[in-house]
Amino acid sequence: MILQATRAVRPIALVLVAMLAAASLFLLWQGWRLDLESGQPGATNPGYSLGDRADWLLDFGQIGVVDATSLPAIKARMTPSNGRIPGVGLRYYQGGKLWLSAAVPALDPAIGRWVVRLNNTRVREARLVLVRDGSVSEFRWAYDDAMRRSGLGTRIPAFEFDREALDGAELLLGFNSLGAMRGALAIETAQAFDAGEIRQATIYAMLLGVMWVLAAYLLVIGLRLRELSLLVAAGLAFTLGIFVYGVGGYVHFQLLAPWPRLADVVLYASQPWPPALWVLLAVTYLDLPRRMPRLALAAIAVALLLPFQGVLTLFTALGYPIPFVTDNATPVLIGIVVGLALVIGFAIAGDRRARGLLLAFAPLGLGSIARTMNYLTPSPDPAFSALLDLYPDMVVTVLLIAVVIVLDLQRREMLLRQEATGSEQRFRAYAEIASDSYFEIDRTGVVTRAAGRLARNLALTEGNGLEAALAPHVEGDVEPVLEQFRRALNTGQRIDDIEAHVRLDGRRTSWLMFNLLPIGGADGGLRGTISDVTERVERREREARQNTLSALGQLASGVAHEVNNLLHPMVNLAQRVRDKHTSDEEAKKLLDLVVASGKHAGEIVAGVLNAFNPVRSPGDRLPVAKALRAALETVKPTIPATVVLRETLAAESAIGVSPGEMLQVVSNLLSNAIRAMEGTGSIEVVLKQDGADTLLLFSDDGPGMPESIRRRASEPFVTGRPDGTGLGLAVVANIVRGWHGEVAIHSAPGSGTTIEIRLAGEGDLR
Amino acid sequence: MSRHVLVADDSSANRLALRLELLDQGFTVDEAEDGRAAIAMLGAGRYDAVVTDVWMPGADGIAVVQAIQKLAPGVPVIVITGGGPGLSIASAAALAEVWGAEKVYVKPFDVRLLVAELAAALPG
Repeated sequence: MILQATRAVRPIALVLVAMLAAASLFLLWQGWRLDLESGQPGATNPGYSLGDRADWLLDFGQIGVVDATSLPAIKARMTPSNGRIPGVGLRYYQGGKLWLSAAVPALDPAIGRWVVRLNNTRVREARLVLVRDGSVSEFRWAYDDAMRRSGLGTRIPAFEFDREALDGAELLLGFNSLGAMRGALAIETAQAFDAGEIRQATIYAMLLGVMWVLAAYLLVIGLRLRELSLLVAAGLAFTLGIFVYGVGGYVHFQLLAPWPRLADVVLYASQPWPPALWVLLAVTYLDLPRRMPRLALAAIAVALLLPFQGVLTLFTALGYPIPFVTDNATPVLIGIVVGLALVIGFAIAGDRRARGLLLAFAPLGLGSIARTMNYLTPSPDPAFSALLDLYPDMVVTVLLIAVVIVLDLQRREMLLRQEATGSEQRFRAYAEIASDSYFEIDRTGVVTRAAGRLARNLALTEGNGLEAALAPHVEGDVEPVLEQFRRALNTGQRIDDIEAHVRLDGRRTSWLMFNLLPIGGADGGLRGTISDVTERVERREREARQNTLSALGQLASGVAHEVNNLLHPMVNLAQRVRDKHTSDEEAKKLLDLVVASGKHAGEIVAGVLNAFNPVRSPGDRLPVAKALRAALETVKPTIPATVVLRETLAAESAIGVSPGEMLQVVSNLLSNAIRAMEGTGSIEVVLKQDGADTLLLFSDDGPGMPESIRRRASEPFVTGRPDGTGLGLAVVANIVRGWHGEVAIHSAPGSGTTIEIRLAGEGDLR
Repeated sequence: MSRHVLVADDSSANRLALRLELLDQGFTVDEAEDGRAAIAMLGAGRYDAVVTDVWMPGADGIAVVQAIQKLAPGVPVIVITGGGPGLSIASAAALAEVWGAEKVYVKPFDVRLLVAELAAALPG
């Protein structure tokens, strides 16, 4: 995810880096043309630091015109140099100017042009007074100057002279500053000055480019990952780039040269933005709105007020001072302190992310301390000061912030993924335990996820197509099932209870039920469960048949009753005619036939009645075991010697049944078994407890029955024998229903038959 | 001694088959064409035996059997049945036995057997 996000930024980054490289090469070429080497201060082309040998004075508007008359008084007020560069505070002294006084040393006669400069980027106005051979001349420099904005070398007060004008002169420089007033006064060759400016401009441009590339990266990644703290970090990188490297002046003022006021607005309004964003970064990255809403609100309010403070400061900078805004450093300091307080507070409390952020700020912290120290006690090595002025620590810090956030995101993503993997593993484990299976398919019907035994048996596994998986298993036409899937996909609505008759292991068929829930979103697809509903569907079918049978039974028994009542006089009156009203032998034979046929018809009718109708069980009931023993004793004498009967009567169930009914059950089942075995084999009768239920099993080792017969064997007229009426098991089933029990038939061709009678333990038999 | 038998059956042909045989064997016969008539006749006259169908309009044979136990205790009852709508023969027979029927015959049966048994039970 994160890698993908960065990949998307690459083209933008490449363009930016290319532009940056081109700009840098151009500037470097410019610098090279100016012969940077010969411009370097050093043994051959020395530069001189005057600050550390200057007397100084902090003046609040008392110094007016500087001329030969006023000069001695001014110099008398000055504090003598103590060998250190003088500096005043870190804030804006409104109306205050720092005055420096120093003697220009003997300059290299080989070099004609020299520059007096003050290494301070926030100077508003500067006055340079040269006193040479008793004559006083004054030069003025102002920040607000069209020339200053229009080209190189203009961000700091700099005055260029011929050597003759400077050599041996006494020099006074007075300046104010928006920040600290530091008297880093120097004289160097004009070439060295230009070269230094170009070098710095090049480096600033590159650093600004780095910050903006970083900002672009963070922006895109932040948008992609929807991570607010990354967006804030992008803003931070962008505004810090403008502020620090824009203050350098070049890119900033080059770009906005035609609109100097706008340049100022951008410059000064941009100053409080970094600290404001720093506070917002702390707030968002530490997830403060969720963890401590009130604190978050307060911090956000502070962050949003800071830029206004910056704008107000601008008014002061432009000469319209607003009383309560003393200087532009205040909002910056407030922002830094608030943000740091939050981060340090959470870091102390043990927050891992706060510590990361604090770590990221270590370079900037160290750099700031070094800069402050250098302000107060400048290093003798000007390269060190130059390096500090580049704010490399800030670039490192912003880079580290990006790294810390991205690493943290990665860590969170990993944790989420681990959690997700864990969830998925758990889900799969549950699916294995559960009787149901689960799957997901995409819009094209390809299985993207599946777990569970049923899914596996159906070949609904990852990468398989739905149709290819279902078609070989579904009995009959698979199209209606697929149609339901398509409908769920197309309508986006869940569809439940899709039943499919399938053959899973080649032999047995089952009924499966699919429940489908469309997955929202652009990817679409379906999530589904598979359940085995064989029992439910078979029970439903059985009940449907039962209802039919019941209605049929009513009809049949009504008819049977009528038929019996007609058969009865037919048989008896025919008998009477045969016995008493004819002596004709032929007639007697024929009447015998009538009587026999009538009786046989009666038997059939009786069978039909018993098969269809519920038994009204009267009278005494015996415990199942007792009734079963009695029934077996009654039936045993009729069992052929070639049949072995084994009994395992282990249960002493309290369930009571009618002994007569038990006899019917036993005799029907045994006679079925004996006939199925064609008179030879063994029958086992088992009575046992199965939990709360009582089980009565009649097993034979006969030829068994095919599935088509098995499923409907307990319906009347269903028989596997050519001479069977198909009523025996129907009678048994009818009786067992009266016991609130269930009859199940386990059989397959070649493996015998077991009739299982299950009586519910709690069953009420009345 | 006359042997007086009440035959209750809603089928006149059934009654006829039984009556002819009973008369042959010297019984006197009253006939009722439903349960209610049979119970009324039981209240009015004395019978040595009762033969009743189970499934009849009005009151069924079970009601007749119960009435006999109340009105003429000790009088043997023979139940004949051909089942009924929703009533299996086995159930009808079982119910009749429970309520005290002497014997149950399932239609169609040979009336000679029934009459012979009655004759044996009630010697003239």
